[in-house]
Amino acid sequence: MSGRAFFILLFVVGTVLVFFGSAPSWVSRTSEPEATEGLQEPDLSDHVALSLPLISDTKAKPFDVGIELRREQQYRDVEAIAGYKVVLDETTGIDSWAAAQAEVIKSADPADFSKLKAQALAGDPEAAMWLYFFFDYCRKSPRTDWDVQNRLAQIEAVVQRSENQSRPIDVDQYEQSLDSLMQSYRLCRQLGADFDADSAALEWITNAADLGHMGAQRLYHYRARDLIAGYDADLVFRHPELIAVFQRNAANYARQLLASDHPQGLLLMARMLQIGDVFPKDAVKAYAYAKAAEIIGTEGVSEDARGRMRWIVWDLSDEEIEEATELAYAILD
Amino acid sequence: MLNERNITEEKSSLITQEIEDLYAILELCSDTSDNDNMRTEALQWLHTSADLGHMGARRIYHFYGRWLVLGNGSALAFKYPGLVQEFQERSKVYADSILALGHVQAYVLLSEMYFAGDVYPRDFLKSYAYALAAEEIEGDQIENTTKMRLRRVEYRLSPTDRAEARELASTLVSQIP
Repeated sequence: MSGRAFFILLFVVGTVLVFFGSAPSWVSRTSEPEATEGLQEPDLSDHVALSLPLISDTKAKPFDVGIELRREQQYRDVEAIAGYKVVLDETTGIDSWAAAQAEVIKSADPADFSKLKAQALAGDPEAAMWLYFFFDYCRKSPRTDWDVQNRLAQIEAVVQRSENQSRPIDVDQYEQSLDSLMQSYRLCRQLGADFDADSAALEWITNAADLGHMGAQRLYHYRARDLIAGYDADLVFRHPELIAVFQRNAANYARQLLASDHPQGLLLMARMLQIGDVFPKDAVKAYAYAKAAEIIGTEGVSEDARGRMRWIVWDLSDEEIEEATELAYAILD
Repeated sequence: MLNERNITEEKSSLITQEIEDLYAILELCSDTSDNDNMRTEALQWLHTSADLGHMGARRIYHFYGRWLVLGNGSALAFKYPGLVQEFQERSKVYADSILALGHVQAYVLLSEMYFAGDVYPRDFLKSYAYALAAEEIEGDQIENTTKMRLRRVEYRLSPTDRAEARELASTLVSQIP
């Protein structure tokens, strides 16, 4: 739904609320949802609040030039990982790492994946994670000749339409679309038309995280949610119970990452507390975790943390920012 | 200044109107800072309106209800267990109630549902058939979104599937009360 349509809906609802003031007695409000018991407060009992010098944070506009700088940093990170470093270390931003992994998958030999499955089933977390990237890549890819022909026809139609318009299509972009279409077909056709790549991707990111893969544990919250309930995903409608499984797993992986003292654990907690789909939404704690990650992280990790803080800061008063900064040092203590 | 940026006066006026609309919405919603609470309220009132028999609410429920439950950034489905199942049940009940009236919007709605696969299992053939039925009833008056869906689904179907869908569409139209 477009943002405009959503605002129109809100406007209509808002008008009704303003008109009636509150729920009128003649309206029977059916099925009032009850808060789940699945959302539990994160355990911060070990973190003692300390009297530390406060670091004041300037409220910056979201979506400012920082976004561009962050993107440049990601490109630099990807270049730095030219050898496609597998280990998620304490300097690499998570998006850069995931992008580098995806690049490897695109140029892989299709025959590699049957070998990977044997390795993954034998308990190799790296192999399990590669399988996740493979299935995730193939989710939207053409897998039959019929698919490819239709996609080519669609691209051709776009080109023909563009010829009748004042702004012709970018030839490079067109060739790139064709290349990536054929590249994904080459790799993904082995799965067959009816293969459920969404379920397979979810299964292997979960397996990799269960086997202790840090990248999988860090990405699970974002990627698994997208597979289960993202735009165009239908897993949640076929298996509604996956929501509870997702919450349990995500909380469990966050605890494991925090226990390993990896800064990505702090960033994951910041994300979860900001969104509120695993733990109750709490902007102060979310900011505190992001701040803690910024303090101990370097390069890509710190940059990710600052990006998160720029986003959260708009939900906080100056007093709450001070409180969150104190809490950040308590978390690191 | 307008010419420099290649913005016509007409466009400029539209932009100004959009900005004014935005400010009006901002003023209206200034007391509702918690997005989740706002979504919960909106969903409850959509339920209430549909339950009271508002056919418009029943028609838009599948689209707006899904957005409120699971839309971009929404955590309602994660906060309230059973909300996804409730969305599915309500969608079916509301669609059936419109279908019982033989209204063309029921066919458009069912085409949406079979395409999305969020209430019934995804079925492009049925989605195509229901959209064709709507087209047969409405003729040139058919909505653009339904025309677009026909195009989107068509390319996924083999010629045999399309023929089967046409047959199903004719049966559906003949069954209108």
